[in-house]
Amino acid sequence: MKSFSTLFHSFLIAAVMVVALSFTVPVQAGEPYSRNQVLAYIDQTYGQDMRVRRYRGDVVWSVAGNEDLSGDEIRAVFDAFDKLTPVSLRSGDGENVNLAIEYVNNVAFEAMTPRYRPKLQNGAADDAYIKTLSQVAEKRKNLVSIIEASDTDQSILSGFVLAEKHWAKRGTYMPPRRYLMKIVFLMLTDTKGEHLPQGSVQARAPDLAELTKLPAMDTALIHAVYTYDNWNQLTPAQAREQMARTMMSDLQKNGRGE
Amino acid sequence: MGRLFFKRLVKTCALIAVLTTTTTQTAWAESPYPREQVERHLRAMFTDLDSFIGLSEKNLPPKYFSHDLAGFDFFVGKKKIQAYFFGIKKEEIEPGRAILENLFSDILGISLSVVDPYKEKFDLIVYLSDNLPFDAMSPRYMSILKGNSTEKTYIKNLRSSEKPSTVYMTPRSLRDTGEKLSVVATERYMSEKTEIYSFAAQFRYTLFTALTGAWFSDIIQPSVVNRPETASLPDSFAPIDRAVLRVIFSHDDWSGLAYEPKMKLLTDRVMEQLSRNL
Repeated sequence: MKSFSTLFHSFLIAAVMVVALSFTVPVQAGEPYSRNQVLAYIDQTYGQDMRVRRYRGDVVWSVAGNEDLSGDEIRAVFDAFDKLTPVSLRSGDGENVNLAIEYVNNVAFEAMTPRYRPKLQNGAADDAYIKTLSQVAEKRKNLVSIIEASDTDQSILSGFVLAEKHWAKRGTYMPPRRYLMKIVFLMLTDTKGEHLPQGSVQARAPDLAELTKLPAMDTALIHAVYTYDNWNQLTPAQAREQMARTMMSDLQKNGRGE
Repeated sequence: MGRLFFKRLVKTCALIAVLTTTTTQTAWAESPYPREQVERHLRAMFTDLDSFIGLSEKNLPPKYFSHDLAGFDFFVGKKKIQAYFFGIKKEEIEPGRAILENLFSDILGISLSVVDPYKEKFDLIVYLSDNLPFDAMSPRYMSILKGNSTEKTYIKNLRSSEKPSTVYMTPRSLRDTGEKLSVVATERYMSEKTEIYSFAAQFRYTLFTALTGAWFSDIIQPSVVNRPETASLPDSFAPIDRAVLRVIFSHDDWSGLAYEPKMKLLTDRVMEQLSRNL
């Protein structure tokens, strides 16, 4: 069952990706990460509440309207995530899809139309819904997403994303593969996407280079999220410690942790 | 709050009706542009909609005659325009006020009154938006912009307006009482190119179009009606813009003329105005 507050909170992960953050990852690529750096990354990603969610069953995904990537390129992105998690990611269509991404010309506008509004607003008050959308409307460089989660164990049941189609249109730019990787990452981990390090796939536009693979810290995080089953039974402090321990172990295995 | 502040500021320049076209103080000179170029510029701005859409006035009810609804003389004869501006940001108040003063007081010589559209009558509403299709879906915009179209058609038009470089809507109408109403909704960021089209340039173009129905034209540059991606836009109303505005609003004999004689008369008068070097 989904709860309204949970869903609307999820909706608020709509990421405003216009202004580059001043935060920079203090470690150059290739250098090992310290535990404190991992903790800082976790805090930037999850904030104080440390609410960790994940899919439990298989992920059936669909992508519509992406004019920048070929079908093979899109599939390759999902295949890469498939290897990082114990759940299976496969493409599909129709009712079985539980991770749907639609690229549109104007996210905020489409989210106001009858085609998408009922799904995205999902019972939220009109004023709150429009106010939230107005934050993503200004520069049109955003995505809006909603995640349906289980009240029982906080696992992700389904996710839906409206993503901006033409990033180059108004001055800022997000490389298309990186943008898709970011969306998939956010949806698989239900991270907030608000205060994000530039060295991460979660970083905001502009001036981001294309990615060929997920950065080490993001890889460690998604490993950690999907390695542990019972995040909902942990306090925020316990979840933070569990996440840090698992991420450090993962980074050390790959020669990227102190 | 920004809206009230703007209203207050603009009211300070309201009801100013000083005609400034004092020919006795003016040096006469040659028009800076040949007649043929001026005519092409005017024809580009004020397209013959009848031929464009293949309709004849005979097939339309009288209140939809193009010279009333699509003509540049839509507001001619009005000594005062009552307007409201939605969406002005705090940092736009001062430049907006200066542009309005320049246009209505210095160029047109007619008064502008900024009104509360929920309480008073109005002739002109300008919406300035960061994302017009999004704002156009809000009740405040939709109640006026949608008009008689169905929601499906309205949304379809908004969706299609994503493709061209301009997102712009100008439903002009006659109320049941016969009063004229021009509603202009526009975006701050009109250019598909990376540079941002400035608020001042956008506001001047919006006002010019709201008052005259002009379309883009690049035939004479600089002009506020130049496309942002093809022109170096003027930092005020250009000589050609001032000439066109003054000519249109200082004559009240446009009504009833067919397109061709109307354009000839307009061209004659604009050439004369340009030669006054105002």
